[in-house]
Amino acid sequence: MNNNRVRMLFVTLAAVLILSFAAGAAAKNPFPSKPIRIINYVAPGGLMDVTTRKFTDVASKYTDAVFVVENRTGAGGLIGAEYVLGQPADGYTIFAPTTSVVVQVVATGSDVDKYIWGFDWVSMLMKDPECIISNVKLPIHDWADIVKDAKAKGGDQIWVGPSTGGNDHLMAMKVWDKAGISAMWIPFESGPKAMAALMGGQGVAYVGNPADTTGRPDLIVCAVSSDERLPQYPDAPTFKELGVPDLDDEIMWRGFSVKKGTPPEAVAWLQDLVEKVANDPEWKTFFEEQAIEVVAYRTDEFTGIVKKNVEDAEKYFKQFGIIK
Amino acid sequence: MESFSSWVAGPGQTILPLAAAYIVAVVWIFVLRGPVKQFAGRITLDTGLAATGFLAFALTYGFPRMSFKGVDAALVPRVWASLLVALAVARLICGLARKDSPDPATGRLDKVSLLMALLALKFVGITWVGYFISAGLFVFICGLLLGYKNLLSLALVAGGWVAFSYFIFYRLLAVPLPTGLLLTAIFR
Amino acid sequence: MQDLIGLLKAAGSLMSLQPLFVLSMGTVLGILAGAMPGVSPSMGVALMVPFTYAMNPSMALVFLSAMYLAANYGGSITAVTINTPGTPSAVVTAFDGYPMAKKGRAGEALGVSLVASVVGGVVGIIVLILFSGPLARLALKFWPAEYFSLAVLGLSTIASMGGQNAMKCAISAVLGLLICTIGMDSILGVSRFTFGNVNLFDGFEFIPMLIGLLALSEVFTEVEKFNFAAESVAGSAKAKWPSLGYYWKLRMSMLRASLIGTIVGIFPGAGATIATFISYDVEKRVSRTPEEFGEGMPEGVAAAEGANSASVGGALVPMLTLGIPGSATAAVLMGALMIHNLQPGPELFVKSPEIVYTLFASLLIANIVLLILGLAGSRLWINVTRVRKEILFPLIFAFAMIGSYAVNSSMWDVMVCLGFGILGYILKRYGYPLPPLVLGVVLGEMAEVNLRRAVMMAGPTAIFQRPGSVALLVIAALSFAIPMLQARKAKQRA
Repeated sequence: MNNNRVRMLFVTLAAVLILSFAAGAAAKNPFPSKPIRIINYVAPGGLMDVTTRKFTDVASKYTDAVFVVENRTGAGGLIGAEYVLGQPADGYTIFAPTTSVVVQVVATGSDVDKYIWGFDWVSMLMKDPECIISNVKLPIHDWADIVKDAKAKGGDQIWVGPSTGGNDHLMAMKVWDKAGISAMWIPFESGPKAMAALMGGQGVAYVGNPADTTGRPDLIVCAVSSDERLPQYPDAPTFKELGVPDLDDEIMWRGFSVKKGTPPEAVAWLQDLVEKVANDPEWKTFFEEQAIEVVAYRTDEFTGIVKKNVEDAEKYFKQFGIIK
Repeated sequence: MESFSSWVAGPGQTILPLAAAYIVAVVWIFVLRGPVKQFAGRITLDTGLAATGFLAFALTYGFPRMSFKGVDAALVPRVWASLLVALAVARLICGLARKDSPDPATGRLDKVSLLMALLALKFVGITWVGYFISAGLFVFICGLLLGYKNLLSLALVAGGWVAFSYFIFYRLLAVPLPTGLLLTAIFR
Repeated sequence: MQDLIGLLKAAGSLMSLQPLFVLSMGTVLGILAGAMPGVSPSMGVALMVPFTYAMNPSMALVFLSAMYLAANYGGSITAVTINTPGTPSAVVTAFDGYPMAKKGRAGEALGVSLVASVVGGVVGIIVLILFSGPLARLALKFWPAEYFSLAVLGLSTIASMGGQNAMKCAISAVLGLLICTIGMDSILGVSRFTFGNVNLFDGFEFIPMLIGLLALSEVFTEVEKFNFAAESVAGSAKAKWPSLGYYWKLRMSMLRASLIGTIVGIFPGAGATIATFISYDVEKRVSRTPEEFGEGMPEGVAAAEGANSASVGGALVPMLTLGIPGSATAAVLMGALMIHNLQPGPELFVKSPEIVYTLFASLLIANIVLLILGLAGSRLWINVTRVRKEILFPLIFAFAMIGSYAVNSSMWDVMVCLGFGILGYILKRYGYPLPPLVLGVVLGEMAEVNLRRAVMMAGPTAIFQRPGSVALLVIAALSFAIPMLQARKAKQRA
């Protein structure tokens, strides 16, 4: 009697186990079947952090998938990249880099094949034009004056911005090169701290993006890298108008990348979702107010841009002696 | 000079720390037998600090050479390192002259070292069997090690900690505690 | 006048069930986030930002700002009870709070830290409301030269930490400064002492280092001394809570701390931790019994916590007037406002003044809520000091490890915590004080980076070219020299 009951129990248990395994194998769950983690390389409140959190917020309109945003900061994004590369390539861990991560990999002389080409660059979300920002309260605040002052000071003019070897530093080098001037880069711990330095008159120019001037009335965009004037900043001249060539499309992008070898269906799912979000009016207005162009580039186009970033960074960092 | 720099940046990075550790170990063994036995700990520690200073100073020569306006990246570390060496050597002289008070009496060093070993084990455990199992076991064994006798309440505390870390850290604060390589391999 | 009306209106609108509930939730979550080692105020607030998507902007602001305020207090709870600062800025609170708890005066320490927090919080916000304009202009006058001199002023406080063994104190501080140079140098991007290890590119993470140095070293030391057979019940059975008169005696300490905290808080490059060190130092110098600091002085706790909480108001000054966050948590708050389509900065006063007044009012009310909830909470926290050591120590270790892990979700940080625990234990065993080491780590980067920036801008004599910088250096020199001269005088007399 007792024995029978035990046997019955075992048989039932075995049956349940086998059935559940069979069910699992037969109906292979469509992607995603568990929460997806987006790994940020910036601290909470940083630009890309706000972007990813906004993304998950808007994406919840189009999918039931659960997103978890994690911040793994450090070494200009290398810590975050290293972490994602250590996870299985199953599409459940997404890296959220910006141009800065790519540029930083080159600047620190880190392994480009690992930290950049160990990823598939699957979705580019937006293009934020780079620009030069100056302080209206200072005597020198328009482009012509900056150039004149730079020539007079012969290399001692001060430009402020975030970290050495970052995207904005690279942009500054390009501008110096194309405009035929030289100046000094003084880096600060973060963009806002560098902007405070500009407000305090420590330097004459800050390299950033147009939206950096919103809410900071002393700051104006004195040159922007885009084909035409931005509708949101009609007073800001483009480099072309100012007579500085080849600076019509310098941008900071934000995007998503996944570890190389991620299954195509997971990639396709993410790219479709990005497309839907990119067309969402809430998402669009949020970024377009900041003069950011919302895009949904897929792997080919995005990889081309990343390749160009790497080449540019290598060229200019060598020219200015940041790397050998 | 140039060849020294490239040596420090290359093999020196391994050889120099090992050499420093070797010197400290030799000093330790030597003073344990010598006439300043009751100062052995102090002397070893001060030697260690001086060696750290020397090591840091030497390693600065391996930094990539680059300077904006004459401000070298190696300057400030060199200042701190040489200060450390100077101060530690001054302390060493005090110790050797027996001006300082002797080493503190040793307490339960056995328990302390067991505890450190247990912590190291927990560290390894987190990687392999995950946070929750290792943390639960750790709290339990650590309690035993410190001489707590009531096994039942100890088990309750360990269980309570696991529950607390799960609900507060893992769920509420979304801290991705490791589940362990072994467990992930089994349940995949 | 207009300010007052706006403020009262905003305060009135908060006096109903829903806002008060949101405010209390924010406070409770803030206290908890602050008390969890490894969860910094900025991380705690960031975790809760998604929950505010559904709220209207002013409710979101009420919730998050209450949380910000409470989190800065929360760090002191674990600092007092188990010597594990929940937030970096609570490290100084542990210097005297934990010795008080060890002597069975945990009730006093918890009470003082709470009341000082509330006083600091209120003073900071009043200063924010009244003087944010002129203070912001002052913040902009701070160039790298001034930041360097401020760091030197901070470092000069080791002169009063040393006591008899000034040399050990100096070694400890220099070791901290040297540790601080590990990682990518932030001016040139040159990697220093990293041995090619990516984890070291940014140096050691602050919180794991602190937990190791303070909490683990303390437990190792106690275990070494622990008499396993005899000791059974640790703390005293009955907690003593301070009376109103007790707090009244500390009023000047709290006020001084609040002002220092607010002023230092407005500089985006400084921060709450430096404010607490300076405030603690000032308190020690004005005290009649400076030698008792570090052994459990309520004035020490009041100085640290008052300055810490006052820095909240201070950090909001540049955020509201310049659009520059004054602290990491203010940066998160700014991000949250941007998600709600509000751009923090001077235009916020013009475009949506009601939001600004709501922020002010909710911070003021949050302080009152914090006082009430904190008093109730203290009755709970005090039980920690009654737990038997055989149980408490394993839990402290568990806490330290999970806290270190939580900062970056990284096992490397756990290793850093253990490593510094062992280092701290060895140093402590041979009489090297640890607070100077912590100070060196806190100020090393600020001193070096700003010195180099200043020299790049204006040449080797840069720090002597600006009056503000010179003034700070003179104060630093005096505060370094005076204790030494006094000690010599005392020796001559003896």
